[in-house]
Amino acid sequence: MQRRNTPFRRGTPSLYHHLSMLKPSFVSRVDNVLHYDKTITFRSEIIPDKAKGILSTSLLYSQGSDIYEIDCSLPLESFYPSSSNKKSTKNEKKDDNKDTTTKDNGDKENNEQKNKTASFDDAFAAVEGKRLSPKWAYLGETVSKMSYLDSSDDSTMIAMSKNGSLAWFRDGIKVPVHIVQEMMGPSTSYAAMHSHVRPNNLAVSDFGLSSNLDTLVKSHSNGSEEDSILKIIDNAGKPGEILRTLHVPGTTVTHTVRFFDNYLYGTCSDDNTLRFWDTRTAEKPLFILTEHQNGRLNSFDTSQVTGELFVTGSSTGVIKLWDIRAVENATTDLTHRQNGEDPIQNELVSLYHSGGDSVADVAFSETSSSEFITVGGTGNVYHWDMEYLFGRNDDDNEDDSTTPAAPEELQGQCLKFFHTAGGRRTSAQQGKRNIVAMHPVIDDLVCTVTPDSQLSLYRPLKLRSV
Amino acid sequence: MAKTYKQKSYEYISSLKPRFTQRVDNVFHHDKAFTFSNKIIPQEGTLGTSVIYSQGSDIYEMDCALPLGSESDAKRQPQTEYGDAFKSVEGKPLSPKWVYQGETVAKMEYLGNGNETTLLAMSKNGSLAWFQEGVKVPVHIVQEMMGPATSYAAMHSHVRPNNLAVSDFTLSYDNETVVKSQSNGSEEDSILKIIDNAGKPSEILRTIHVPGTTVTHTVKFFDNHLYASCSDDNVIRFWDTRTGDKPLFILEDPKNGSLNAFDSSSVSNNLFVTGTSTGFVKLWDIRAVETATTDLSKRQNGEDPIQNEIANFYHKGGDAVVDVQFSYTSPYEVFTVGGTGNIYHWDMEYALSNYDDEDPERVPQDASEELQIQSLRFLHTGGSRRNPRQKGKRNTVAWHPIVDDVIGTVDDDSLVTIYKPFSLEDSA
Repeated sequence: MQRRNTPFRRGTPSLYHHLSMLKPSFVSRVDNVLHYDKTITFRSEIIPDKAKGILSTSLLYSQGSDIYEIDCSLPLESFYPSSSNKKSTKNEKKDDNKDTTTKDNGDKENNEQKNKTASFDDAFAAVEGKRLSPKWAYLGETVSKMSYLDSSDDSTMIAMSKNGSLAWFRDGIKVPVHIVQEMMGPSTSYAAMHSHVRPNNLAVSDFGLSSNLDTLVKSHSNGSEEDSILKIIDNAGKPGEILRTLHVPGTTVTHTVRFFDNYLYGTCSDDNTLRFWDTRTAEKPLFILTEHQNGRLNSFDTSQVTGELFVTGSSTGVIKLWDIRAVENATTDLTHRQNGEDPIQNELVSLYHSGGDSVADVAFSETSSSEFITVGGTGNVYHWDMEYLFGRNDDDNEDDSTTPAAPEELQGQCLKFFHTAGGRRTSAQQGKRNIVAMHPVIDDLVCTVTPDSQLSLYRPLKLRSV
Repeated sequence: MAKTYKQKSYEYISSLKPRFTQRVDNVFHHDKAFTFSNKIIPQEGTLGTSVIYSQGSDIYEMDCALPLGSESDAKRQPQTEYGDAFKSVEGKPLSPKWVYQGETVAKMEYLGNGNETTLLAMSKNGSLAWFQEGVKVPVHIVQEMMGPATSYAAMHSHVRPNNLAVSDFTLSYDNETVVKSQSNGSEEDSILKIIDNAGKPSEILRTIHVPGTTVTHTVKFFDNHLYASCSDDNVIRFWDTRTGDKPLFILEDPKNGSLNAFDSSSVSNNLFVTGTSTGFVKLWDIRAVETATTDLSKRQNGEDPIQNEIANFYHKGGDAVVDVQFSYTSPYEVFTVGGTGNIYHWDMEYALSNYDDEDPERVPQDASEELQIQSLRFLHTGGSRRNPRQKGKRNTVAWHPIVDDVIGTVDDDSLVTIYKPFSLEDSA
């Protein structure tokens, strides 16, 4: 542990506020758990129970075609910062009355003791030992991504299968209520999609949901041809209705789709180009961002909190944070280039995974504008907080007179936490997408799943740097 | 339950003929448009609101105070006298709050106080201007000029200006998208433009051509994405802002003269009303209209779909329908404006109570005397009483967006009237 940490910053904390593990058992027989693809996401509901001092939430876990809902309970203070835990990391107002302060101090001591103990917490106590039966099943398909909608809506959750099909599920109904099925046909090559030779090259699909959940855009490969496909799909009036099909010429795979707001979305393809589109415009991107350096672009995510920031991750382990306004302005700015030359589009900051650990997935926090996580090819989870950078930069400052922070310093200041997940236990861990999820409501709560179905739920203990 | 309406009696009615700070030579010469703001401020037995009124390129906001009325029906009495809703502005010369210089405002839509922009106005040639509280000139503009896509001459023609210079716009329910329609000069091709009103207000996102039509006179959203356009080929086309350049489905109504007006209900989401030049008013259910396009039980593939309305009504004496608007507060109430300038109030509850959207055998309820009596609630004869030359115009009548049943209108001679019909429901 200590050796792994040193490259980043002396004493990069790897202490947990909370860490629970569960290796679920199932009612149906699972022969070889390693064989199945797994994904994970959170439901957004949280149920506080003051009497017991716990906060209940649940996560959705898919294994092959089965989707399980697993309840977990956390200490109440993980969401309500009025008491204990936050006290140890943040400076609180001094004008608290004395009673509370004493009580908080007491709690703080308890917590510090707790943090020193090596034992795991018991968030999964309620389900431990119980056999899980699937809540939903997408028969005949392998779930590769899930997105929770809202329990009050017509459908509760959307799942995507490995071949790019989509299924909408509703609470209480085990089978999908709507389906967009991708099969062999003129526009897709079934053989390539289901290829066992190179399944992970071509069978890459993704979807993004607009901020108001009205529209879904999904991407999938068009078989082996030089042409990947985007489909704009309704999720409001008629969920599952395909509104439009767009072609992204010159790309074999469009692996990531993410929305910025209700209409603007970005796609990331294997030509290392990010294309930005509006669901309402015609069949051309609004503008593009080409990134030739630093290997293959693997992943991309947008901040739902700001609506302007996005992060890209590459196969060489380079992570870049961008501002979409600057990226767009550069496409029309001719002050430093001739018309016809490529626009000069620069990132806000560039970070890296130590040791060239490739970036398999990135996810912006849904609760903070400055925090995101990246997942390495090793399965490690890196927690970043850009507050240090935002403190120095001003996006209205056009001339780059402010000296950028030294890369090493930035790296040290921004890498807040490092979780060595499965990499510790099995060396066969491969970089996978959608195996790490951040809770949409509770700050910093992360869940990961390893190929051997070990679920880890944790909150890092982040000490503020001085 | 039979209802009788005391026709032509008002719960209240107030009028004002405004004076202006600058000299207006011939008030008849200027086109006028009318809308309400959505401000309501309760104060001492009245409800303060304001009307927004344009005359040529000038836009005025006038405060008015609506009587709160008594809650119980028993105490309500029809008012015979004109009220004093405009007392606070009477006698005061008005100066324009906003000006769209060089253009004639043809339609306005109030966006709200909290937003970056307060009002969206369209000029006669199809240009759009966004106005902001406290800034007299537009803050964003989509300008239509002569150019490859529009024929300036035709738009500004003095020979038939009211034929070709017909444009319209509509806002999605979340106010994030604007769709506008305009003629493409004299060619057989009218144009729809999808315009952003969220991230970059006034950015034109897409231009769609409606071939075979010279004028698309009405566009209207059904929700955040679905909208319909009504063109001079008597076809209503239904579109989604996110789909390609083809309509989702269409509705043809070749009977009963030219389709003049169209509106969808923002309360029910499924209902819409059309009005024709021969005075017919039809109520439709968009679900039935769409289902009919794929239903092959009564027709061969290739034949036109059988799309029936829920019910139809008519203006007496063949008074053309020039405008129609659904109430913002009730799923049943609709007004239509006649070519005479009369305002007809309809209550669709009776027609809808006889309508079963599950029944495949249903037939449209034709304009029967019974249906007409049950549905025509009130008739406001407005300007035509005073001036036989009064012509019904579009966008000169508006529902109040919040207060039930309150209507405002402006006449050719700039007389602004707000009224609430007196309706005592007689359950006997």
